[in-house]
Amino acid sequence: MSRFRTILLGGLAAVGVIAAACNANAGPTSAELAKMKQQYLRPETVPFPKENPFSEAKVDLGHKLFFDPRLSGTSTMSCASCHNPGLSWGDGLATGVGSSANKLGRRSPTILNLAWADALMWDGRAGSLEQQATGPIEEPGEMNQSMPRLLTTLGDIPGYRDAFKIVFPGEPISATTIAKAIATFERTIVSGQAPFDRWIDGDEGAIDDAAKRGFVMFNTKANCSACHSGWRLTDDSFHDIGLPDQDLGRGKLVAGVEPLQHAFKTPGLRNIAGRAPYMHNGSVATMTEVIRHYNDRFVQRPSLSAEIFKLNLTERDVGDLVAFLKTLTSTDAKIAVPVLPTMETN
Amino acid sequence: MSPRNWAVAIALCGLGTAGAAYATGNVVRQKGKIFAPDELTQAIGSMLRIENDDTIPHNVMVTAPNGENRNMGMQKPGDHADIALEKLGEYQVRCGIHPKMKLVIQVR
Repeated sequence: MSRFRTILLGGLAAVGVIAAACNANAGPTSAELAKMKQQYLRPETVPFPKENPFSEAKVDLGHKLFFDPRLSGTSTMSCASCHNPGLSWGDGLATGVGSSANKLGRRSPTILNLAWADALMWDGRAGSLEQQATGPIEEPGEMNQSMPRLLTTLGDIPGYRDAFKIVFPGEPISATTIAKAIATFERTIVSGQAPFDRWIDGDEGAIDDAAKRGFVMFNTKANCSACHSGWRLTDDSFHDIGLPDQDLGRGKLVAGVEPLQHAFKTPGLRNIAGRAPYMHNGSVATMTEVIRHYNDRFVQRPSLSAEIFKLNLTERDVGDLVAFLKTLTSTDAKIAVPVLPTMETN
Repeated sequence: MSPRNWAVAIALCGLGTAGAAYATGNVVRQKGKIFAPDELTQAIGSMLRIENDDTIPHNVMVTAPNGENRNMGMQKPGDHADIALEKLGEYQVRCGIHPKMKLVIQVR
């Protein structure tokens, strides 16, 4: 490199340093903001695993199974009882309710955008949607169904018999095929374009200034993006966020690993404004209170995530963060309750 | 960088490091919540060292070719875990805290 170019580049670097220093309180430079926004680009397609590829008929079968109360032991509860499309695929309750009207220990998580998820359940015990799908069906505290009984029930319904034959030719109705159909339906549950996405795509008017400040805050001072990263706003990882309860979360499954004690999976934040109450135990009522928790209300203990520390947020910062979170709400395609096959009809 | 190039790079770095305890092994680094490299081939009987170069803890969990699971516990920043590769086939490694971190080791 010529000496002139070296000096020129050195000079430009110095200007850059000065510019950065001047900008310390004025938010990120446009290049920094562009880089930040780049992290949130939506993918173009939904991934389906090669072991369980997409087909319309499989989605249709999974859709029916998802909404069918006969999947529970008492025939009173379907997957959609806790994962209700009208409540952003949750149930709006602090913690779930099982088929005997029994209160469960953790909040029903949304099933939005799980095609991209890795470990499923709050504690990550299921490695895929296929592994997860039949868990709650057979769980005594939840849908309390026996798998042999469910296979008989479905096999006695002509509409299901035919549908399984078409979707899984040569395979019996089994826990595996049920799980594959439900998992495929679930992968199609994707939150749509939100105002935030339109802003990411370049529409400056899509969100207001408070939300734009909140986005920067989310990615900088408030450190939210350390865990709520990417377009789904989750790292699919496990963290103790310092909630004062006794539930060890993933720590129950993985003994001896300190950061996993009291650790739960980071939920994505799409449509979060419609998903109160918050946290794995539903103990926090509003988004504002969630932000106050992360600001300074968390419990200090050895397992607390290294990403959590006192933030010193101002009231305006809190308001800006909430304004940003509200831009993640999309108007999604309506998913109808399907017509379920009965003993007499197809 | 391909696993092969990586192996060469590590080997070259290793020339200046006398007394490495895992002379036949490779090193995989955890940085930015990914394994780098995220796939490599190792000789049977060798050791693989996994270094945590991140600022956050990791938890290496290994599934051997025979399905056996081994939890290597927590690795704080700067810590490492050594995996003995004693079986032929595919080892799958994940971080128990950040399960998106995946590493595949083919043992030949």
